[in-house]
Amino acid sequence: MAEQVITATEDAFEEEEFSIASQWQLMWWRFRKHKPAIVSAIILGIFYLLFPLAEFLGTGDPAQISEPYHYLRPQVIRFFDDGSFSPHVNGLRPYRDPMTFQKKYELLPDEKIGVTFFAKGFEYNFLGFIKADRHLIGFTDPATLDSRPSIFLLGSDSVGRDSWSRLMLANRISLSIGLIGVAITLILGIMMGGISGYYGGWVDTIIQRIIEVKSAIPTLPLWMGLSAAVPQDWTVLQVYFGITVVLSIFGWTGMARTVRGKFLALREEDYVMAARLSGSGEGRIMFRHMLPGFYSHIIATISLSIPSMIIGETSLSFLGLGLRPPAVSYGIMLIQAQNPVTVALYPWLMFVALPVIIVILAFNFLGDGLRDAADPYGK
Amino acid sequence: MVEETKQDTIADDSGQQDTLLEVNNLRKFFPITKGFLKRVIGQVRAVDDVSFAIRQGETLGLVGESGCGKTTTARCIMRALDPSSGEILYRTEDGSLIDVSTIGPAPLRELRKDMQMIFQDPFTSLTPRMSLLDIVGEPLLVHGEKSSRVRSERVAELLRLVGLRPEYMRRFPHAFSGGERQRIGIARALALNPRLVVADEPVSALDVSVQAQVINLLSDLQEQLNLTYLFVAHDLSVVRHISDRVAVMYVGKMVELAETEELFSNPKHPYTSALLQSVPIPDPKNKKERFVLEGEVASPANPPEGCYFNPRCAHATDVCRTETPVFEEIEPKHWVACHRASELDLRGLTEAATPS
Amino acid sequence: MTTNVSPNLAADEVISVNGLKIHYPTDEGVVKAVDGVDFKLKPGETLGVVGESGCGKSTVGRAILNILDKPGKIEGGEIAWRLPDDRVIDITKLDANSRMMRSIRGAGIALVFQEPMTSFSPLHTVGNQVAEALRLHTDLSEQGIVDRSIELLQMVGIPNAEQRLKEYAFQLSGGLRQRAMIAMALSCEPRLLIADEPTTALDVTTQAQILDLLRELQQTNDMSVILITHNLGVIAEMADNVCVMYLGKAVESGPVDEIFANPQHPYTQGLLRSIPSIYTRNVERLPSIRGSIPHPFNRPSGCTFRPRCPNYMDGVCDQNTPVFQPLEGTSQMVSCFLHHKPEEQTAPPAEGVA
Repeated sequence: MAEQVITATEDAFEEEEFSIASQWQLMWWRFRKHKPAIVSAIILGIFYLLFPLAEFLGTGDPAQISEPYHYLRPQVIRFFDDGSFSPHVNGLRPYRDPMTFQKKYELLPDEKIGVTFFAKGFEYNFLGFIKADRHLIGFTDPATLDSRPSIFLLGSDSVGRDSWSRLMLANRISLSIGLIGVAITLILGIMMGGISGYYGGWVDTIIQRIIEVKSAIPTLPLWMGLSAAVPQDWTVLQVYFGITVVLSIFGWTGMARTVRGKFLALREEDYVMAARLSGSGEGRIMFRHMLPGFYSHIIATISLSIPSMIIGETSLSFLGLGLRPPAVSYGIMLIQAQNPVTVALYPWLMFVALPVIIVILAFNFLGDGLRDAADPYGK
Repeated sequence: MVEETKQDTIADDSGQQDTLLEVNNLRKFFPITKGFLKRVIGQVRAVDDVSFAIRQGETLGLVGESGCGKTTTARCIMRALDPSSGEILYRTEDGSLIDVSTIGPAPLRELRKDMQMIFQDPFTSLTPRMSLLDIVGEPLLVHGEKSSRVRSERVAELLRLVGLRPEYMRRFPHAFSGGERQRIGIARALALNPRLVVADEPVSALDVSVQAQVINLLSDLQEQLNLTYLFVAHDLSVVRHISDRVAVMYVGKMVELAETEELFSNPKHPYTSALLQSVPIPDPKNKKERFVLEGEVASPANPPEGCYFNPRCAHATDVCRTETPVFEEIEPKHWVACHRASELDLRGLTEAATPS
Repeated sequence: MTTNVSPNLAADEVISVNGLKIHYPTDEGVVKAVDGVDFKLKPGETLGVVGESGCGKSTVGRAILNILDKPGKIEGGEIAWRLPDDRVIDITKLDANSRMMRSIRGAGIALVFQEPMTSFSPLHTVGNQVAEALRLHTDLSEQGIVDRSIELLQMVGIPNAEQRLKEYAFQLSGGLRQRAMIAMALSCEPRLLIADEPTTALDVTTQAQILDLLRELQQTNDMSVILITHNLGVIAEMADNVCVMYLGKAVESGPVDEIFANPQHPYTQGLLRSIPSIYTRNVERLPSIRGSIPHPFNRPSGCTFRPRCPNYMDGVCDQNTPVFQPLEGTSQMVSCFLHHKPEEQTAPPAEGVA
């Protein structure tokens, strides 16, 4: 029995590293090679990092209505003044176009409003409980805010709210809906799919029929129906969770099917039988032997289903059936862009579509990368 | 009924204390269902009235072609499948008999310590996400060994036993070749010191050069640990090498059972003889005009009347087409199920007997 | 495109493979699936290509038909083949989708796979698929095609041929499927049949039937056969010549009787010894080859068999790469330093001959 080869290899260390690599390491090694997925992961990382920093990055109170400054085009911060470093924005003078009666703004090159980093601004609660009033960028003199509520980096909407600051908040709500929705999807999907696939029999039949019936109902009308049923007097938070649940009701069936299929396939694997013959209990077989076999697939499925959640929320809110003001989400911000005339006159209102596209694409690339990496044993 | 006598004789033969396992009239049928309501429209008779005994310390080879029910038989003995009928008597260390086919979950769990299985495919029988320590140590853990130090010591010992380095313990199966993985599977089977090991085609997925290593390992372990093997295989030369006695199955039925030398040199069932003649011999000097068995294996869902082998049998007579032959001991220790067993002179496999 | 170099093919040879190298570039590195294989085949002869998993024997078969899986690439060597008009071409130089290659594939060289289930389309009847091959490579009329299909199925011993033509592959048993596969391969009367593990998925009694059939068909059609298998019993029974491969290289070749009676390479010796005899149980322990087949990325330097070789010579086998060359006094070729000291090794022939 001393028949073992002693393979003397130069890269013995590397071999050892591979040999003791767990599935996560193997997956990471493969994922690393998928460049678009890595870039996407970084982009998404930045987006999710914006969560706690939303107000800090905002230049003005996102809720403040400002009659003098509505439909303002995006403003530029000038960092240099006559060759010396002195960040400022120019003052504005609103006027009506005498021909079209359209509201316009004249840039006043001589009126320079000082801008500085870590400026004092509106008060907010950092992470929900720490009182703060500092912002990444703001007016040097906080008193300026009384006459001009923000720098208006991305301009303002129909009632003069600062689009940039609102976008920061929208980002938070829309992306978190994706995460929470997927979490609910995941729990429902694994539970239903697991029961269905592992136990089989009539339980399986019933769950499968439910999924089939659900799949036969067109998505959008059902979404609309369910969201319409969200009571008008709910608070913003309640509506938020209500909509999340409505969105998840659709996600879980796909997940349940994936999980069920995997369980059905793995149930027949030799190693599952080996575990059973060793005397392992059902729970151990499910959680130690079978589930780890497709964790990675679940992760890939999740990353591919988050975008549909985000799109779902955006569509519902856009149609006025999702979140309602004063909540801010991508969809709510886009409501203003519903009217083609508005878009033609004030194209910057469409800017919100850009982060939506970026996030969705990034999630898709990330999902692709994860899926490819998910099967470290496949070729 | 014929079964009565059969049961008696087997009991006589193995009435000695050294019988470890006795299978009596084992049947396993799988229902064929159809349609939405899963109506049962027929039965696949995967194992159809099989009886044999395994003695303490021996290797019983179980051979047959795919679909003959040999793997199903092995799985019924392991209770990986529940038999449709029949009994599987196992003699525990203290001498008492238990019927494996009917015991409940708790005693079955205890029994798992005594009976273990080695699988055919080393690539699917090891959980890919678990390290060797977890795989080989699992039987210990689930049977109450909570101390991880004790477990890892035992795993190291087991790995050494099967010819792997204990340092490999932290590795995952993907780092090993087929032969090495099969050794890991053997180590897992031995973790609880079993008395009976059911090996289901343990070398047929391995390369020739590695196959010999694993066969040797199995022989060595048998000697060291006083193991009893039920060795399921389709490769007759491997079976010949490793088995003390050989049982041949055809379409769910056992057709012949005898000591290895006897079965290979003096087969009594036409199917056994045909099987032996069909094996290609790795010796070009032996290129012979050999006997080729015509026809196809009968379907276990729809077996022919009488002897299941009769449509392919060159010696079939009318009685073979109508009556099921009895599995009986026609010579001491030589069992066969053939109406014409005593009158036929069939070709076996001895070097001298093969024409040049 | 045809080549202007004249490939190496003697008048009495059907095909000649010289120094064939096939590499698979992957993310992790280059897998040298085939790394130097030479053999020749005469009309009506059977060449057995034998080796264990990963030795590249199937890749050789696929290379001859120019149907390598991606990203496989022929890196060197030549496959000389004679066209019906007596021109000799090098198959490695042909484009995989060229007209000439396609005509060679159907009518010149045919392939039988290991798993007949996956080689048949589940969507078409067996008859359709046999007819398809005939339609592509012959100019028979529709009725002629049907008649010929029936004739072919009868030739390979399928009962109720007419009925079977209308069935789908999954309705046939493994043995019948393999017969149908052979019928399809023979439909255009190839001069060379490549049988890649034709019986591995079959039971031993069915295997005997199929081997019998192959032998019979070979005699009646005067076809050459390349039989790729890991089963030495099948080789002994079927082959006239044997080529033993290990890790992509031919290590030994020669007439089957000589190879089995007098193997020269330690690998061949080990392989033959490690099979238990079906006649007697004369040994307690089987002689085995130690160790296992190395991972494709981890091939040993020098002779690739050296870590497992009982005759390993330190300083020789690890420093030099053995060359596959004829062994004096025999008809065998072998690549081993036991027979040819490093200084006696001839220059690699692959590049020289083209």
